[in-house]
Amino acid sequence: MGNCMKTKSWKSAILMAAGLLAIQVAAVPAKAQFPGVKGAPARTSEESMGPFRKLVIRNVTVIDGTGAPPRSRFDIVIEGNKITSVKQSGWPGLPSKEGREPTDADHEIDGTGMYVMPGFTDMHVHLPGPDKAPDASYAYKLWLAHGVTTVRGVPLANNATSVSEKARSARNEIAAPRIFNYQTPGSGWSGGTIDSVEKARAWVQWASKNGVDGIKFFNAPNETPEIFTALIEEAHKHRMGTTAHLSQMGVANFNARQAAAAGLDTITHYYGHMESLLKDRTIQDFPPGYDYNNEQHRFGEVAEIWNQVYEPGTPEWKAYLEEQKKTGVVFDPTFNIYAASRDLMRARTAEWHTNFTTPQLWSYFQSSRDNHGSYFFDWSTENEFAWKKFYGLFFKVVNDYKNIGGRVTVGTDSGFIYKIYGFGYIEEMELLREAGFSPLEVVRSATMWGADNLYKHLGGNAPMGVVRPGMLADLVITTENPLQNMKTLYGTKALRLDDKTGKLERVGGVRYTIKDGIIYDAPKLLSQVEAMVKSERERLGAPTPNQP
Amino acid sequence: MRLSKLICLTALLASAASPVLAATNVPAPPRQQGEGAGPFNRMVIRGATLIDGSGAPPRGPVDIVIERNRIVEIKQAGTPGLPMKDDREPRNVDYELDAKGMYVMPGFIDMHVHASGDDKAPDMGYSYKLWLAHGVTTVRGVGLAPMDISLSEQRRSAANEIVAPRIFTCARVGEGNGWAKKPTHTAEGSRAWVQWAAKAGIDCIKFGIGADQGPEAFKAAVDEAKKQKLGTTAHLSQIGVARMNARQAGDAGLGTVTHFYGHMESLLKRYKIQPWSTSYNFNDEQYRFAEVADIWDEVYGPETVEWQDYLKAQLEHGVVFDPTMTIYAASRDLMRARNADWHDQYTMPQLWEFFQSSRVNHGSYFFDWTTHTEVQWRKFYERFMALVNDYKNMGGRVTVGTDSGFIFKTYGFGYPEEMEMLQEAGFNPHEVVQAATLNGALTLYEPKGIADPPIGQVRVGKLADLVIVKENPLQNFKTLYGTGTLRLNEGTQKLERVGGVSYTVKDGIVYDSKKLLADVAEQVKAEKRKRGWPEGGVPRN
Repeated sequence: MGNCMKTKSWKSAILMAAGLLAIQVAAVPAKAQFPGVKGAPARTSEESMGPFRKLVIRNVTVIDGTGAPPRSRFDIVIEGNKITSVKQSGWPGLPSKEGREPTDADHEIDGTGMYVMPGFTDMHVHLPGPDKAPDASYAYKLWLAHGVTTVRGVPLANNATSVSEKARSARNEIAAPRIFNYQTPGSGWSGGTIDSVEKARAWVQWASKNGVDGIKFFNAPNETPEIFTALIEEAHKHRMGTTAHLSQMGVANFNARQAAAAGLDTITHYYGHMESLLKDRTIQDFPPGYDYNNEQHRFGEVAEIWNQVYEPGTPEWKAYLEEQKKTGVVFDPTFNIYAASRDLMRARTAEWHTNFTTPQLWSYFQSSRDNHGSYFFDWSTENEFAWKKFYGLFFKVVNDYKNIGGRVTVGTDSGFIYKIYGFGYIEEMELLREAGFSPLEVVRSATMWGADNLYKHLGGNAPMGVVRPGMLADLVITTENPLQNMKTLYGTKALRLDDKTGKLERVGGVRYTIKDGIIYDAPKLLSQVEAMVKSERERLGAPTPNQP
Repeated sequence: MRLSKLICLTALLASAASPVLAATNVPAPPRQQGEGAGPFNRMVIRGATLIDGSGAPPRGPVDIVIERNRIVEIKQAGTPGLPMKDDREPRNVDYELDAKGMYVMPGFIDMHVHASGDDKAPDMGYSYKLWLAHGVTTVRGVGLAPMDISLSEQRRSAANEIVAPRIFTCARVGEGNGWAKKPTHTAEGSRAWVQWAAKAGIDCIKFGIGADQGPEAFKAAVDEAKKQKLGTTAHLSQIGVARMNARQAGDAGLGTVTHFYGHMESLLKRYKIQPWSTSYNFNDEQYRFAEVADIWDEVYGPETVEWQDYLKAQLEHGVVFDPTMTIYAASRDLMRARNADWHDQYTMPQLWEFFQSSRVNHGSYFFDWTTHTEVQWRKFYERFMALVNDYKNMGGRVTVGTDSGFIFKTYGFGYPEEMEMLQEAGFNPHEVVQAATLNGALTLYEPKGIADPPIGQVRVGKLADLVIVKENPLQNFKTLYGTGTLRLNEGTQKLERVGGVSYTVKDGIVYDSKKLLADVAEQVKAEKRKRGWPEGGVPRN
């Protein structure tokens, strides 16, 4: 409270710097607006090296992403951007032989004692605008530093920026994950709002020629069931994927069951599932004073649905999941992005804010009536209680779906509600574990299942997501066993007592992230982000995050 | 939590038990001029909404008249929606507290406390002030400190010589300087101690079934306690639980089961002993506290007949559940507990150091705490919460206890957290308040043969122990934290901290709760200066 005056001035500085327009069009979610995302500066040799004619990662334990158990030890040979060999290099408990083939590598990584997994896929991301970070590299580097080698932007930014960033990443001009460009209906073209089936099809045709990989739906008022269905159908004709946030605006007429029946590929967030399971009502009970544009109402009430639905194990519950499985729809729950709702203090005091949250983003997170997702106007024990109950049920939906054979992916949506790029990914893995996934199931969702989903309509099999010869060289290399403790994957690492010193120490973190055959030094990426945060705080005179 | 840091335990702990460091308990300094106002010959609290603790709905506005330390009158002061009349009777008062728009509850009762030893704070006054500042006007020390110090502090608090809640003294079998460590591991020995301790003035017995005490000694002590009108509460630790689980302890006549120990062990499905891993070692606290949660998957679930039977058996015996859910909450989310809002200002540097993982400090067991361990604890909590809530719904009594001073839990702050966790377990806010007030009072006074306790309700004739708050606690228990809760100020569009207890009245003495907190914050700063720490914050790895 003591630095209120200071707070005010640095916040104004941010707003002016960003040239922000605080006005929001009522029906358009703030997250769909991406004012002037600035692309990343060029990649440097400081944080990366390669690709190499021949690169060998020696003597690692492989967790291949398919669900196969870990196996050790292996030499992985990478030529250019492809894995060409995965060869056993020794037995547990015995030393490896010296002088193993190949001996003509341009570069070697000694991975003794380390673990390798396929690069992670984040199925739900947005880039930060100038109201959150100086440029896109802030998010890219945090993603790479947490092992994320592929992101699905939903959208990443507007279409022009997304297309350009995607191309720059593909050419490895920037230090960034692979990018898939999903856009909301009507984005990018000059044909105006999509208000008819014909226009919907015309936009998809335009989009398919203009670098769009798939459609992100929001159940916006103009996305009527007919238009929605036409968009999906047309998208598939043009080898485009689809994912939907089935927001309250349209869910009464298009819930997750109806959307999947219409051919939707992915349901992201939780919206639409519970609405497909309503008991004794067909529209959620909203209190009479409810106003969707009052985000305390919107996010406070959303959780109250938990006791208006058929319970786990009921015939209705099972039937819903079986129907979804038949359509092949993927659940992308993004548990982490709403986790502050069940425990606000935890999210606010998460340890990564100290060194990794830009002052702009910290300011954005603070409760306000116009920043999207900053809805904690008066967040009570009662609100958190409802969200805990809601999470209990949502976890069950997702875990039961996995257990009957449905597919679940890992997505984050960071940049809102106290969630920081990259860190949110590991939190999502922990939350899947909490939902009932075993560690190997979590890794499979993060790798093979994400990749498969992205390539579903592209023909052929995904070229990444598994550590296997012939696959693209997208890898995560860690010093700690991620299956033992997923917390070791956080950039801030995990605490462990050192019995020699009797002190707690931080262990883990990703050591290297390899994308497209290029080796990124994860600790270096993190220190670059730290430096960026520090310099932004100095520039804006902003304090290190603390309580308001 | 076991009280392993207190010297009183040395006599009880077997050589196999964890090493005990010699911490001592420094009594609180005397109450100074200006610490608390009153008691008054006549005081009136005006215009408040009353939440009386019985489970009755809030009603107001009322004027509450107190003479010395008794509530003598509760008068309706107006009608909701209409202004209250000025110059309401009584006018001849020594002190008036304008509580218009505020809420009054009975003083809270914390059924499981230990005071701060000198390894945690300079003196016990640190914990007392934080308790009072959070509305806690009565504590059951289990033990507060070694028995003789507890009894002396109890007398000083009763005489209001110190700034402290009312104290009830539970002692452990064999405790007390006058007992001179005579053996208590037999039925006869423990019975003799109970008779002696009752005369020495204790209120209750805290059991922690150790390696040296078999079920016979426990049963004899419980039986004798009843005869001597002493209460009983037990932490049925893993060491003795194979022979004395919560069901068996209930059969033997135990009054309160504190923590979670013993419940799940009464519900084991495939075994009679929890299937610990083969490398388990109780004295390695990472094993002890990681594996304790693994039992969730080994028990009969909430829908089963066995679950219902267990609760019915406990209900028939009138066993009280005192779950102290807060004290192990770090196990399900370590980062949250370490970074809690209150540490920066209110956690003593000594206490902070005590919390840091160490193989020696009790409850500092996070040697390598993983996603898996936290997930197991979340599952465990779900089960435990269902058990406690089902018990309440069946008619069983549940109380609020905290056990702060271990595992990143700071005195006082653990209390609203326990209330929040009861709500999470399924209690509605009214039930939570009843658990915090009336249920505790009944449990403290029933063993004494007093069915209508003098505390725990705001009613004419009761002692003047009250919590007065600006915010409606039923709307949000977070408003009860000393650090308050965040709320958007619509005028400035900035987040502000609102809440915190305004006044705590104990025995007719009015304490300014914010002032108590400020005293503690200042004391914490002074201790940090002594150690060369920065005044703000705590060092974090």
